[in-house]
Amino acid sequence: MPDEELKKLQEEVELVKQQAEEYLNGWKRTKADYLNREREIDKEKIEWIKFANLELILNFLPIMDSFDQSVKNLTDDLEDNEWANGVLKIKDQFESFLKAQGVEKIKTLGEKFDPMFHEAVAREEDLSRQSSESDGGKDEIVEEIQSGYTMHGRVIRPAKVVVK
Amino acid sequence: MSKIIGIDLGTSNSAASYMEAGKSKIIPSAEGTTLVGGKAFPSYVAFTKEGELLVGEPARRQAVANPEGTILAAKRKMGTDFKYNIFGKEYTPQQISAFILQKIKKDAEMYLGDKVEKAVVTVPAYFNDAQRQATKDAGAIAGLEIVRLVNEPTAASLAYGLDKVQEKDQQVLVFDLGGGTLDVTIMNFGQGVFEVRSTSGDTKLGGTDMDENLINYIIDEFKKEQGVDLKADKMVTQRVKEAAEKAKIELSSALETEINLPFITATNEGPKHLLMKITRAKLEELVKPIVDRCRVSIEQAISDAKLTPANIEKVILVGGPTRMPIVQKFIENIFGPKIARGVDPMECVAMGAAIQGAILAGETEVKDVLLLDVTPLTLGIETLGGVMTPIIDRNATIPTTKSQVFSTAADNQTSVEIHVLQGERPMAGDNRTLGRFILDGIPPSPRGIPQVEVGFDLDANGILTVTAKDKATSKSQHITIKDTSALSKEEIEKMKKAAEQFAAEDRNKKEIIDLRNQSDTLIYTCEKSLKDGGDKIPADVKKQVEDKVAELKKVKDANDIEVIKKAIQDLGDTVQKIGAAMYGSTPSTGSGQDGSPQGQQAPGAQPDQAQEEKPKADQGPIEGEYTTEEKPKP
Repeated sequence: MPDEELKKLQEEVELVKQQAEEYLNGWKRTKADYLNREREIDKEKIEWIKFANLELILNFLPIMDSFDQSVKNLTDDLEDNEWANGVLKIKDQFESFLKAQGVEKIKTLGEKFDPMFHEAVAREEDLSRQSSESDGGKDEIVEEIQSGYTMHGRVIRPAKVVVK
Repeated sequence: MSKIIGIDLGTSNSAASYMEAGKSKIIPSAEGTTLVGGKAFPSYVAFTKEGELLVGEPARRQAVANPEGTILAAKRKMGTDFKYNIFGKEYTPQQISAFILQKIKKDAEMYLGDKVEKAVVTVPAYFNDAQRQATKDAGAIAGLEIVRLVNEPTAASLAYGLDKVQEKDQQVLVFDLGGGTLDVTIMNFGQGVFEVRSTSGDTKLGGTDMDENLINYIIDEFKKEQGVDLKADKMVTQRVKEAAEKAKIELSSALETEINLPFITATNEGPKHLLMKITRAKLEELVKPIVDRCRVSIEQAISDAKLTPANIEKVILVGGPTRMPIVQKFIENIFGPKIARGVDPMECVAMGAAIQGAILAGETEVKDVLLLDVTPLTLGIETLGGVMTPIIDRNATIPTTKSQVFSTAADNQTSVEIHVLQGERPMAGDNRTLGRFILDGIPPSPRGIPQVEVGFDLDANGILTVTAKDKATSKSQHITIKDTSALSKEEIEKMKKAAEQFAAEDRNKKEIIDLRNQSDTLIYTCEKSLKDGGDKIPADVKKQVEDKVAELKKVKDANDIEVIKKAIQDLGDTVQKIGAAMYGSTPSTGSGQDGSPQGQQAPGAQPDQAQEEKPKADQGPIEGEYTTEEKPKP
């Protein structure tokens, strides 16, 4: 075989070898990406399942708000009213249900304001209310306007509060 | 390789996004998003008295408790000499924006698991040089290299895919109606370049104005009906505000909604409840003055660009309120049906920035060799009843291989015909035939026993190889089809449209075919049970079963779904008596058929593992002649 042709063939072989290596590496990388993605999805799945009911729970919270309001409006003369007591037991049922879902109320009254859990909707002085007796100092929560909730430890709705 | 992310740095809300596998995705904010604002987080920065820095949602939550330490809408001050003075320290607007960008950088790095050093940031089309420079500086302070500033309307257009080069220039109008501001921009898109022709807007016009009107209406109505002014109580107005926002959003898809707030307040007379129905018509009446105010900005932009509404070829909507039907109708009344659809108006700016980022990173110039196609139409084979069974779904990325195991439809069927089809309709006859072949030499067995594996292998060039292998004998046959991609784009679209059009009809037809197949299987197994039971079956039970079988045979070929279903049910119930009689006990639940049929398919079960194949062509017509007593149907 003439030298020139031999050289050409050798160069071609080199080129093809390089290409093959490039392709193999690309293939390996793609396979690795795929396996990694599968692993990620498995992790994500756990989150999806944990919070699958989040939307449902969020839509349910305003109903709990109404219940809280109804309790606030419970007059003294209804204390012995069996029907009223029955409805309160229903409220308890709802609260148990929420607990079973991993949903818990965020503590407010008396606590120090924490923007991770609370949202300040007013300062006490702006509401021209009488200063409350508490002496927890500034940033103490004096009133809860709307309850806040966490689900599996994650804040799903911050509590709306009035801050001293 | 680190990504170039896209950032929508907004006055009220900000969002970041990135490109993955050709699609833009929003990077979620670590502490949560604005509840009504989609996936963006509020553009708030705050310093607590203890010196802690808060950015985003936490900053917003404490704004009322700490007004001296909270900064919002810093974007409005960019490019000016204004300085914020917080607890004795001074900050420029760039520094404040940098805190927001820093938070985005951190969230992105955590989410993507990789360093993020470059970004594309969007700015309003009307930003001047000083404002743009300030934005770039903010990036530098945050440790982010802003490789490009993109105009917000341009980013929105990119998200809608308007950057594909057309033959002639296009006039695009971007209508950005957000929570608090309106921005109208007219752009000329030609030769791959977006050029701003005019801008206009109203900095005090937006979704919150609409909320105001609705809230005021609710409070006024309540005052009229119940004599109580709800505005007085903060808690009450909060509940009304939330309910009003929810109602407004619901009315974009429903014509009517109800606001139900029990125990909204209490007076000396006792507790009061708010129950109000709001129709879309009422909402539109309340909101109309605000929508009409948009007209001024639109007309200004059009005249500044020296155009008429007819010149505008495409309208792009940005911002939450543009999802309202009244806003879309308003736009269409002026421009005609030119609204671009298919992208979330609340995310399109961030998405467009990500697309620009990907283009700059060269991500879209993938090695030719790795550009993968998808198969545009479903591929499958014909099975019992003239039905198409899909093997490879449409839009599957190729190359790909899929296989499924099938069986025979008749006893002693020794060959199967593989009829390869392409298309979306459920009935084989409505789809395109790609090829046929026969696999024979299947050992004679009762129907449903043989296992024939049918494999579809579609290579990167669209060449399909279909193989049929009998698992018992390992005999196989195959066919190679070269022209799976021979259909033009229009033809593909036509087929897809036809599938949608006839979806309901086809579904019906398929249900009838499935029921017919079910009936045939049930009749087969019942008759077999009768034969196998022989004398052990009491005469009256035998007669009952035979009657029901005859009944089912009569109705199964008609087209009345309910009648067939009932006959199947009747026969299924009756045939259990055979088992009962033979075991001498009351029938238990479930299909207790005696002389267990070889076809493992219980009546009513849809065979999904072993589906039934069309018998070989020369055995006669398509369906049904699997029992010797039946005459072949024409």
